[in-house]
Order: sequence, then C-alpha cells, then structure tokens
Amino acid sequence: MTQSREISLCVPVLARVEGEGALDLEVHDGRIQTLRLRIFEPPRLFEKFLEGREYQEIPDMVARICGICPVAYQMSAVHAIEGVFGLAPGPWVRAMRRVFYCGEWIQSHSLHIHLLAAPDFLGCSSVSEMARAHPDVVRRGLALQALGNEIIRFFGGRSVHPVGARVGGFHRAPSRAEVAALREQVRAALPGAEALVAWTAALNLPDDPQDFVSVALRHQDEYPMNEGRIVSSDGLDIPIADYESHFREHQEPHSTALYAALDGRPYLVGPLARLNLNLDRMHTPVREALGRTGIAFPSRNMFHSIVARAAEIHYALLEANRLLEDYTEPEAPFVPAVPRVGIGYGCTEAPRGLLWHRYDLDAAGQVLHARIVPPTSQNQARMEADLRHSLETLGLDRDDETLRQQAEMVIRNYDPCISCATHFLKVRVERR
Amino acid sequence: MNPVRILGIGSPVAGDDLGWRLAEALEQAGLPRYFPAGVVHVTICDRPGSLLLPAMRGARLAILLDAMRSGALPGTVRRLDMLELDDSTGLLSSHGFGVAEALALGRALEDLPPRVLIYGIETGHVSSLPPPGDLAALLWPTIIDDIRVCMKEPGVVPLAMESKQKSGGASL
Repeated sequence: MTQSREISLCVPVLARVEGEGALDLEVHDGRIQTLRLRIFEPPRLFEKFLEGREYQEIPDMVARICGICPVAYQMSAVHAIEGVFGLAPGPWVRAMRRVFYCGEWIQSHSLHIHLLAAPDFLGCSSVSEMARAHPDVVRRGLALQALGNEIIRFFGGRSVHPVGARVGGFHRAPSRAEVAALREQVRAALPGAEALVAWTAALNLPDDPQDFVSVALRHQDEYPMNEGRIVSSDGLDIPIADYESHFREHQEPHSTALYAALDGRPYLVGPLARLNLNLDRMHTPVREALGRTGIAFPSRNMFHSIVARAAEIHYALLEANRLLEDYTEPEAPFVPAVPRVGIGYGCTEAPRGLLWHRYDLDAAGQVLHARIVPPTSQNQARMEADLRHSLETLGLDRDDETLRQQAEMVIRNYDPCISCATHFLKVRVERR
Repeated sequence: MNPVRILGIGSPVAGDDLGWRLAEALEQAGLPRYFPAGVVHVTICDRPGSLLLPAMRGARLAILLDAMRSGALPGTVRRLDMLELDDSTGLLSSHGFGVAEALALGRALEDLPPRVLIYGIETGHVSSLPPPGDLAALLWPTIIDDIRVCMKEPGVVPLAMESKQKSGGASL
C-alpha cells in the first residue's frame, strides 16, 4: 500500500530574534522523500548595511546581529579589519579579548544547556518544570550564565550588544582591583563547572552515532577562540583567507538562509566539532573531567554536544582565571589604527561554531563590501541530514507528536540562532 | 538593598523600548525622590531573560514595565499581578524566554519577591504612541499606591528611614 503524508512543522516569527523556520517533511512508502528545514535569517541584511560605513563603526554594528553572541561578531570583525591595517594590538589586548570571549561561551552555553537542551533529556517540557525537580542544577546553571554575562559586561560595558571593543583593543582597561574581584567570582564558579561536565554526561542521552565532518579552528597551542587555521576531521588544514576556496554557500528556494558546504558536503561546526578536533588543546583538568565521563572523544554522537558545551564552560573559566592572574593595567587599552586599503579576513569560534568575516576596505577604512558566514547557516545542511537520519531511525510510522518532539530535540541540539523558536514548533498534519 | 524595584524591560529597538522610556520618564519625574532614600530603585533591563531573577532578588515589590502586543490601542496599559500572567498576555519576549518564562522559573525556584506587578503597555508604530511623559503621568498614581501598600508591610522601610519619615524627611 502506498502511504503518502505531509507533515509541516511551523515556527512562528519571534520578536527580537527575527528567526523563522519550519520543517517540511514528505514521507512515501515509509521513506522520506522531501525534508526541508526552512530558516529565515534577517542578519544577512547586515552585510549590506555595513557598506559605506567607517571601520570604527563596524564593531558596534555587528554586535547588533545577535543578542546571544555579540562578542563573536565583534571579534571576527576587529581581527579582519586589523588584518587589513597590519595592526598588532599586543599581548594585553590579545589576552583580554580571550577573556571577553570566555564570558560569551560561559553565558551562551549555560543558557543552552539549562534553559533549552537539558529539559529534553529529563522528560520536562520546560526549564520551569525541570527547576521543580532539579532546583540546585538550575540555580547553578543560572549562576554560571550570570557570571558569563558579568564577564561580557566587564569588558563590553553591557552584556547585550556590548560596546567596549574597538579596532585595536578596548575603549577602557579595567583596574587591578576590578580584575581581582572578577577573578574571585571565576574561581568560585570552577567546582560547579567541573561538576556540570559530569552531570551532562550522566543524562539519558540517545546513543545514535552518525557520520559527519567536523570543522573548527585549530591553534598551535591553545583551544581555539580568536585565532587559528581552519581544519576538518577529513584532513582539511587551510588559512582562514582560503575559506572561500573550499566552502561554498548556495541558495535554496525554500529558505532565505544560505547553505554552506565543504567540497559539496554538509559539515558540523560548534562545540562538538571544536572538541573533536581540539581535545588535546584543553586544559588538563577538563580533559580529566571528560575522561571520568567514560565518553570517548572524538565522538560521533551529536547528542554529546551538551557534554562538549559543559566542557567548554569549564575550560573558559579555567582560561579566564589563568589570563587574569598577575593582571597589570596597560598604558593604553588599544593601539591606534591607521587605515589602508585592502581585504581582511576574520574567523573566530562563536559559541555555535565558526564565524567567518571578510571586509573589503578603501584607503579611508570605509567598507566597500562585507561578507559574513554565521555558524547557523553552516550547520543548516548538517541539521537536515541529522533530521533525516534521526527521524528514520526513530521510525516514520510514529505519530506526529512523537516525530515533532524528535525533530525539535534534534534542531535544539545544534543551538541554532532560532533554537528557542524550536520550542514553539507547531505541527500541521496534512494527510493525502 | 532597595525594597522596591522598578524595572523597564525592552531593547533599543523603537517600539520595544517602551518599558525603558517609561522607566526613565518615571525617574526623571522624581518618583524615587517621592519616597525615603533607598526605598525605590528604577533601572532598565536589556532583554534580561532569566537574568530578570537576580535583578529582582531581595526586593519586596518588583514593578516591571514592558511592551505588550495584545491587539489593544497603542498606549493602552494593562496592570497584572504575576499570578495572573499566562501565555496569552502578549508580552514581547527575547529568544523565547521572556518575562512570563522568567517569572515561571522564579516561581519554580522560589526565587521571586513577595509581590511582582507587571505593567504591560501596548506598543505599536512609534508615531501612534503617546509620549512617554504622558504615559508616566497616567501610571504615576497607581504605581504610587502600589509602593505605599508595600511600604505599610512591616520591615520594608528600615527603622532609620521610618523616623526620618515621621519627622517630615519625605513627603508621602
């Protein structure tokens, strides 16, 4: 008997997120014929907004692209612009930018683990329900998130769309007393972060290994944030300027978001890809904490992403603690820039993965052309491949509600910028 | 620790900044100075999400000012006790985790002030909204009453403030 049914999962538009998505699924004879994850990403418009703008305006403008990962946008932009100008901001700026980025990883990962992902694995419909059963876990998560926000505010002036970063460094250097007080908070949070690694690994995570290519930055001696070469689990190893030679974006009719492919294939960016490719760059206490979980990394189980996020929170706290030790106030918090014409590239590790920027500047430092490739569009093809695999593994004969829940869980696991919207996936079933 | 917190919630986006503009208008009009020093604190929050909880922690009364979309005329004010809040209220949210979700989480964690009031202000095109000063004047008497009720509770106003108040240090 030929079965034909169409399932449409619709995500409504959310204020401020401005993300919209839906999942179109067509099943014939027990097999998926069509699977389309439709995402609308208005942040693309920013590339056009940036044209004609002075280089000084760019860090504040790109911070507006995302309320959760503004530091990543700022860091990719300032590194690209400094590359054009031949500007080397020096060790103080380099170290403090890394702490700034640690703050973003801590807040973004804590938010995702506790407010979005963990309820899935505990059979809870929301974090509020989870909080009634696991109040101490949620309190710990909220405290970590708040500390991440505090670190961003420390350097950025505010935690949402921070304004403290500039080309050449920061607008202001914190005092030694301020740094000492922040470092105390960071140190106090370390035991909780270490415990979080074990807690995530003990969750009832589905065991569903898949074949995928991991892509991340790799630095000669650090876990990657602001610098490194682009590497893959398939052996790719290129400078960031060569990104466009290997990665292609293309448009699909059903989505305003571009799809990115590595040599024509989907790939994964984000915490699991980073950890898979950079486990040896983790601080020893994190490697030991991961070792105690019994999970072998590199992992092919996409659901180990939540463990990777916890490990990166632990790492970010250790790294911030290390970088803030023996802090000294610089003579100036930035190096002055002298504009010049050229093309610059910036590629940093946003909480959700590789964030690649390219700027073409004129002699006055005005933007002639900008290109921004965010992690969510890079993961979009991988998400579709995962959805196809996961729904078929689950069984397409399952009822619509079960399929919807599985699809939501798979999408949320990638922490896309519309991740919160997937909480509101609505199922409209049309049977023919 | 201020026993009464007034929090304007929103973002810099025109229309969504209504809670901010209202909070600023109330402060500029002198609302905190209407009460003994240290009792009322006015601040703005940029899409706080779950961080709304620490922003309210320790208060006896939190008054949240937030933009709302419910289909009413722009500028319409709806006053709600947190116990009345549900998904149909129409308060605008950030990344799916807005005021309603933060309050639900706070209830689950027993981490909320004894009283939380929400003033939802219907937003719309900027040109169709009354000036923030007019909206603040509209809210003024109700918010003053809310704070007075809170201040009558024992322990809300520290003893030192009470004696100053009795000696005419503040106009109540």
